Amino acid sequence: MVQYLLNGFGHLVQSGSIFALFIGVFLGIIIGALPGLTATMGIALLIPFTYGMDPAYALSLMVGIFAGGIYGGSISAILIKTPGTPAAGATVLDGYPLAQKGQAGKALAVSTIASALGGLIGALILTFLAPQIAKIAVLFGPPEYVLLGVYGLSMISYVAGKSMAKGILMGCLGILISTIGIDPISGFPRFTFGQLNLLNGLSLLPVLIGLFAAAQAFEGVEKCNEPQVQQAKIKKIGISGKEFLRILPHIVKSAFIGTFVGAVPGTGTDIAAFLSYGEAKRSAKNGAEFGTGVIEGVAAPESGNNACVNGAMIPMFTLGIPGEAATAVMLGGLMLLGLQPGPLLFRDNPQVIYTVFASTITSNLLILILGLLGARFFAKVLQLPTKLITTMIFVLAIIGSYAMRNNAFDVSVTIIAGFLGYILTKADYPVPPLLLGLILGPLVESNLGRTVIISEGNYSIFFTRPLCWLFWALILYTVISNITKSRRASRQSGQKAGREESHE
Amino acid sequence: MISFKVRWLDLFLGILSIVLLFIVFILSASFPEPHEAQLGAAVFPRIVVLVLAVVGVYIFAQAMGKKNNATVDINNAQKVILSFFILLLYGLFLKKIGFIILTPIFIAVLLFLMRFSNVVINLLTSMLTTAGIYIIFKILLSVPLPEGILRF
Repeated sequence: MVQYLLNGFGHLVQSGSIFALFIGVFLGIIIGALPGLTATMGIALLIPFTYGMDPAYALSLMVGIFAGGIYGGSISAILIKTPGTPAAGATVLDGYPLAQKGQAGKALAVSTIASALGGLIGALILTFLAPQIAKIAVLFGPPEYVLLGVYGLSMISYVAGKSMAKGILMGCLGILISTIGIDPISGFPRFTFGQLNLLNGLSLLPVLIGLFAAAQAFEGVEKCNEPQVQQAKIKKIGISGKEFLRILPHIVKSAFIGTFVGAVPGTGTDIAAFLSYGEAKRSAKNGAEFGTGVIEGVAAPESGNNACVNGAMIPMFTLGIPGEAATAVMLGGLMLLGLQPGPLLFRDNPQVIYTVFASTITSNLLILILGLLGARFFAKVLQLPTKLITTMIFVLAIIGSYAMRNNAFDVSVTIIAGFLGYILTKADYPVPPLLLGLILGPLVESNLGRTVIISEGNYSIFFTRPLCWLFWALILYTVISNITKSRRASRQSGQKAGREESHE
Repeated sequence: MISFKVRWLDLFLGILSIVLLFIVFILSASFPEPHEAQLGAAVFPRIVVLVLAVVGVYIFAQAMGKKNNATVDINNAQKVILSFFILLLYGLFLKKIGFIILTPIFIAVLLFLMRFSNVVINLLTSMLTTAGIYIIFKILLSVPLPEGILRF
């Protein structure tokens, strides 16, 4: 295994993937730092242009954007009090007060070091844990895959946001859209309305670019009157050895929290960051000072969210189950590269997968170098006019959806998906479940078809295999815990509303 | 600013889910019968649309029952809607007319719509941006950009 990893590093350098990784991290930091642009969007825009590339090269780019993007969010969190990505939401709490005290440089150094170290720990866990999980996953037959897909879909309730019902509705719509086109088992064309364009289904990529890139740009148009924010000044970038020792335990602890949170499908980098922040606040000696600008409060969430990036790739690579939006988009990219995500990836393409692991490890070194040396440059980028960026996203979204099949149908899909995504998000209808449904729907259906064939139509097969029981337990646990959670949340909000009314 | 109640969208999507239920069941009635011990093309979409309809009815009932006055507010609605149509025009004519001609026009129009700067700067920015994208994508990455009437 170590041999595989060393080969991965070798291939990373030899194939030039390291250059792709560098570009990815660099672009990622810029995308992450610009408020409104997320790592997810960056990956979505990039995918069409990776078509035909060496898979290791393309995946290194994506890994770079993902890791760089989650780190980059902290730059705007610290300098302009606006998290560049949702993952940096917790970083604002102490990062901005630090910057106001005139210590923006220190805050940036802490976030860079914490992101790199947290990410490194996460990447090492990914590298050594994922192959073990894949070994178990190889034992899965079609029935297990059906339940695995259902388990992934049950996570919709987590990703759903405010209303679970709305999340499930979006998820079902996604699955239903995925059934358009030729049926995987019998080969019969479904719901195509005689349209040739629909024979292979609504392709994933235009939908994905629309939902995650064009929708953002529409929001940019909406907010085009908002003035650009003044940013804090950076003096000296760096921290002392003593300060490093103060934040180190929090970085390590948050890295484990973040990786674990990421590995559980359905949770994301923002949750990892807030959990890490909460734990650091609870356990730190100066916990009461959190929120006034302490370095621990920057280190913990930044370590947690970058570790989470790597944790989130564990279920994606080993099981083919995306945990949240960014990995769902990455999974789409993986499929377009002709790779079937899941345990077989480890058997059939060990070189690709270990090069990716080498990338995840190396990406943290690049974050450290670029972050410490380039902080002033990235701060300058924040002053780019958002109106220009909005138009650029539109143009890239359009040429991206053209690049794959060169047809106008895909472009219309992108534009309409973008507009609908923009409106639906505003009305609390979350978009990620739709994507989850689009990706997991075919997985569930084709394996259900195979299960029926191997069991000769006997559905009790889902209850006679031990691994199936494990999944039933996981699914039940997820559903029940989410129902109780959302009940509690709605009761609390009801009480709050009641209090407000009684105040009136 | 355009503003509409979230309730209206809830009601609409509730009705849509029922409409989809009918569409899927009617269309799938004509799907070929599966062989023995085969799933058949109709089963899975039917299960999904049934779940969809149940959730849709739930959302519909909630929207009817509870007074929820939350609204979806779109500031600059005119600009957003205009940008949608401009984008649609750009997307649909890009192949015919070509990237190099249509893109600077598209960017300039959008920048004008968002009041980016004066006409000269808008035009200059749009041309420079187009050139930048052309160099990065066409020349460096050899991504095929729609050529249109100019053949390059």
